[in-house]
Amino acid sequence: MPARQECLANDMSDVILRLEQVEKHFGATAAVNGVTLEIARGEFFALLGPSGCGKTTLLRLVAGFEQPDAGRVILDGTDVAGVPANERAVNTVFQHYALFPHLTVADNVAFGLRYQSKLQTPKSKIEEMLRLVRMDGLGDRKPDQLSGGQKQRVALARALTLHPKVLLLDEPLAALDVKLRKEMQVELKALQRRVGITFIFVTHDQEEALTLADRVAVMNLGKIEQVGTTEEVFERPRTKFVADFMGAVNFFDGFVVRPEKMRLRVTAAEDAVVGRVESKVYQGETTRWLVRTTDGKLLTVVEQNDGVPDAVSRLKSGDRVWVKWEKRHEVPLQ
Amino acid sequence: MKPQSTIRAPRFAFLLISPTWLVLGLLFLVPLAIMLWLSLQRAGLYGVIEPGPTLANYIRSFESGYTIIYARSVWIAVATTVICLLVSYPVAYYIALKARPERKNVLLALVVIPFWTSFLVRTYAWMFILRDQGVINSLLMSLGVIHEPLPLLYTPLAVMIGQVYAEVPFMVLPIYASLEKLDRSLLEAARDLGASAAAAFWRVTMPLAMPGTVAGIVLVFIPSLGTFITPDLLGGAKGMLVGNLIQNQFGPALNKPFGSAVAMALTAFVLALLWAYAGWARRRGEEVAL
Repeated sequence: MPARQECLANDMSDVILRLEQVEKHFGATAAVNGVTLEIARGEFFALLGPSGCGKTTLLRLVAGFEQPDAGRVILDGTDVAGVPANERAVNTVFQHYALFPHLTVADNVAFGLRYQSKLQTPKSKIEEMLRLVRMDGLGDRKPDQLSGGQKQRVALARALTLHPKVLLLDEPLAALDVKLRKEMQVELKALQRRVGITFIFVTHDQEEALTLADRVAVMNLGKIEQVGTTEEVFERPRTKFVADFMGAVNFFDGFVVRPEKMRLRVTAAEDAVVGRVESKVYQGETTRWLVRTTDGKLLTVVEQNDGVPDAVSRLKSGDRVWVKWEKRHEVPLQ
Repeated sequence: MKPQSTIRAPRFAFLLISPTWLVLGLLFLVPLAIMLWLSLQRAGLYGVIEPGPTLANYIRSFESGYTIIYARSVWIAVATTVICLLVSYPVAYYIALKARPERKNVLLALVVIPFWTSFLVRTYAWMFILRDQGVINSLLMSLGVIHEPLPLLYTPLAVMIGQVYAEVPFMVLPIYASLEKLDRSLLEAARDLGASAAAAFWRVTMPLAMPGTVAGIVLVFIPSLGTFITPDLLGGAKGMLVGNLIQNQFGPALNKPFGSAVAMALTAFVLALLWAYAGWARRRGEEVAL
């Protein structure tokens, strides 16, 4: 468990959201167990973790759908713990979009405008928002006439119309197919830069977190295991859980080595570990090797494929092989 | 398997609904045709049917003595429907959205349990509750609240109570069904966008539960319009409704042609209402749930 100070970003002169020792229990289960976190204005922040780790509950606590049992939720300087969702300057993009099926796209986007006190020109505002997500001209459609990607855009437009201080996204791309997900990742990132609003999104997909976020918090069992920039968390995981979740699976006494940092040799080399090939999986750009070392440890090695067969790529199950890595790639764990 | 087998299946799929057609044809369409034919005949003495065709029965059915009965029937049906709606919506809402999941089936069973007893028996039970020496009057008199029994039985109020009691489950169940399948995240989305709980109900819950609500209204209004047991047992002689009128023509009055004409007119009236509703719903771009 990292110390409190480590959960805070380096330059936190402009904090938009601060969670202090937030707790939420469901019956005997602690869904969120003492989370302290600061998020800067304009950040694209990811809450990453396996299902049941408490990331969605944490998002719901910020949205106001749940109220914390203990701790403070400070939004732009004001403690909003206990304030209902409709009185928080926070909006949500739901996992399955939650578009109102009985309303048109334009009416969905306009839904929240009437609750805003400041004077609006709703019609031009709606058109502006639809243009922002490239849905202009489709305002008269009903949600069931839209594709998954279009629904996603409408959900974004609807949530951004009210200029929230923080936009929350619950597994925003999980319902899309792979190709569309990649496109939407790029679009989402661009959109966040354009509107300049703080985005906090929940995902169980580490690649998505790395692609989209500036900083990421990895959660496990209701607690934050590590917070940092995507590069820090990926390259310098501090705990076994984070290392494992980020795909660094070669654990040794006190350190871990990422599979793509290891190399295979067909001849003996200095400081190399000897073993036999257990299996190989061709993955297109890379090949994933499982090697059983002589002392019984299973190592995963990922080699780039360059398309030219060589001694390594011709290795078969049971063949003798040496695994080598550099000292600087050993990441110490707590 | 050859692909043609999947093509052949739909050609005979209509056989699956043939039992329904058979039942509807024999027990609904044929009697309806007989009624239509009867309504165009003349009634002789002692129930003899003399050949028509004539529109006399239809013309007679619009005489002022009868239109009062129709007006009373419509009024009772509308009032029953409105009261059922007001009583049932909160019940359906509670069972669908607020009750603990393990209690839902018990609550639904409580709504359905009255059907285990015959409708006639249940209506007689109301006579014992409402009559001068009944449960309500004896209780109030023994408490000294009243000294004379309240006239409850054989009043329009008694008919209304009996009707509402009988029809409430037909309103609760369809409303429950449409609230139950409501996606809760839609309500959270409404709150998230600034709507209060009341506004979320008004703008999201109610419109989305509208198909079930309309189904409940139709299921309650139409039987209430034609009801005859409740007014017969609880309403007394002055409370005659169109259902009793029709029943009388086929029974004591020995005038099947006139009874058929009133029944046909009632059917036409109900169809016209449904047709008007369907047109209105279609203009609004809604699904027609009939």
